[in-house]
Amino acid sequence: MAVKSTDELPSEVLDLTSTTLFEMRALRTPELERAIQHTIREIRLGRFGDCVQGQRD
Amino acid sequence: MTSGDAAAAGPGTHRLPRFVFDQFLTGAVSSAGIAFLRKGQYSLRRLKLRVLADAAAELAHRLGPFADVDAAWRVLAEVERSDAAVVEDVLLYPSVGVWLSRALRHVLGGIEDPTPMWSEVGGFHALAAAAAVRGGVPCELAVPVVHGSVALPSVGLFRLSTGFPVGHARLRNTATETVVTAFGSTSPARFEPVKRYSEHRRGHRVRVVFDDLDPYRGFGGPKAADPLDDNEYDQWRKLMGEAWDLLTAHHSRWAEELSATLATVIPLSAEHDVFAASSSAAFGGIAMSPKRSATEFAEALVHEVQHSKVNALLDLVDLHHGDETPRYYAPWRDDPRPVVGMLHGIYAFISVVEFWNAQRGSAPPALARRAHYAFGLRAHQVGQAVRTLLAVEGLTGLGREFVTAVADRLAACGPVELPGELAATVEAITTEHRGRWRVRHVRPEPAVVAELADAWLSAGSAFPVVGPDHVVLAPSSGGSRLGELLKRRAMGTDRLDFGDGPDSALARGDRRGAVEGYAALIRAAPHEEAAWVGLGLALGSTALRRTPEVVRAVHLAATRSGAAPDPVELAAWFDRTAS
Repeated sequence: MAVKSTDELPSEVLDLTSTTLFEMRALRTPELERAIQHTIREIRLGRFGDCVQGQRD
Repeated sequence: MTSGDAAAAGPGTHRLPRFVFDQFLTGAVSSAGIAFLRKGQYSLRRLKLRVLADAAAELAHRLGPFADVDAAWRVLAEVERSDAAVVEDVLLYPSVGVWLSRALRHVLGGIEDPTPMWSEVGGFHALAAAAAVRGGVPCELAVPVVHGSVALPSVGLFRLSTGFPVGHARLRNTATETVVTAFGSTSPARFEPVKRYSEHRRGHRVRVVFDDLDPYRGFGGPKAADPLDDNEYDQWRKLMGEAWDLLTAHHSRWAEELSATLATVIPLSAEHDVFAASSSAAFGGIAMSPKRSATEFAEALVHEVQHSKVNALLDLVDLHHGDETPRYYAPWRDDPRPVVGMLHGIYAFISVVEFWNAQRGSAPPALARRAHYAFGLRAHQVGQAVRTLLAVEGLTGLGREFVTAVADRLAACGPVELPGELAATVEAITTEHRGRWRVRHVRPEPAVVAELADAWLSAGSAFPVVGPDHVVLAPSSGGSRLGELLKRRAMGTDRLDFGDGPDSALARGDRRGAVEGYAALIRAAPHEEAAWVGLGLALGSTALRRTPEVVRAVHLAATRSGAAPDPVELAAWFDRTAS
């Protein structure tokens, strides 16, 4: 498939794929703290991120 | 920049290349595009794991054998150090997302569930043990026992000799063996392995686990393993292979997309009335009931993988900023849906429209009618939902592009031309479904109803009802007999034994008999929702087809005043204004 554009769409999701788990366990940065608090807030608001999409016969 | 420098600077945020979104708009996303979505999912899993570890550490006194969450974290980190791909594979295993969501609900509050918190948090240890076993990293961890078994995600299941529902065992992994100790007895852990399946056709490989073992495979709480027997597994593999052949031959872009996305197929029992399902917590996981043909199997794969894509996209960008109230009519659902549900639906079903449009020309005779029906029905439904969404406030610029692109894809399928009477039957099916939805969930304005009832009683004229619908979430009253009969007619079922009653009369094409039957039903039970909808179809009444809830409410209001209107005359009275 052809690449149509090199522009990027920004996201608020922290990229934690390059941070090792050893680093992550003790990591304390404002960005990570915000992401953690955001996750906690969402769950406490009932947004669990586990909606099921189903189609019946 | 070294890893240490990156840690010091702190992680940045994901950025989704515009070309990936552009591919979304055209349909299938390339393997390179899916890789960006997977990375986003992987970051979110890692973030949630950290949230869980923090929260669980605060609750250590309530976690019994699983109090030392950091021990599990260290094992996982050790495996990552030696083979990062193993940890990524285990963490992204679809059921792990479901477990993680439930564990977070446990530790952060808000879940009422028979599974105790300590057992559910113990899933962290099972996750770490799974990675250690796969990566060959020595460890010793407590692991949860659920339904009498130790389940390691993406590895398999070890059944203990006891059948106790929830408990724990101790797992020790060395370079040469894995042993499990429970109730003072130690034995080698001979795991019943997950069913890995791989197929390669025309340059596209699919690797999938038929997940019949994992406690969280069902997108909900832990349930017992239900392994396929040999005959069943043969049948699943056969259909998967045939479906893959069909997809790679006729839908190669979707084959590429599935190859990069699909991780597990969860077999559901034939008793389920679910055709297929997916979960926003389980990227790449698809549950489905047994299918009669490879074509239906392929349809289910293509449909459900769209949900995985949309879920992953919505985790990264916003398509909608409005409220999340379920208030919209989705033609494929009986309940009101929020905007996000509508977005999911149009995106998944446009792929189904395209799939069946392509299959219509090549379907075997036994499936030809099904292909035309599925194409016509889904095209009608997608068109209706797209019109709804284009009028919704709060779509972002990307969201509007998303909806417009679906409209463009629908238009590209060309006019919906169906053979014989099928077009009329599909139209009847969609009208009946929308009518039932309206009488159940739309509440007419009481003042308007009273004014219309007065007009009827004083031999005045009806007037058009305008304004937004007031939608409520009413309990389901079950399926529709008329809808089922019409579907059987559309599918050309060999034995059309319709039985008695107005639904049967209408399905047979006896409209006069249906009108008489529905009118009699309404006279006996004016609240009867289905009878009003059926009457609208039998009469061809514009008012009853558009707003059956208004006609029914006016009938009830006039009846309370002492003179029950004849339902057929009342519909005709409304129609004189509507036409």
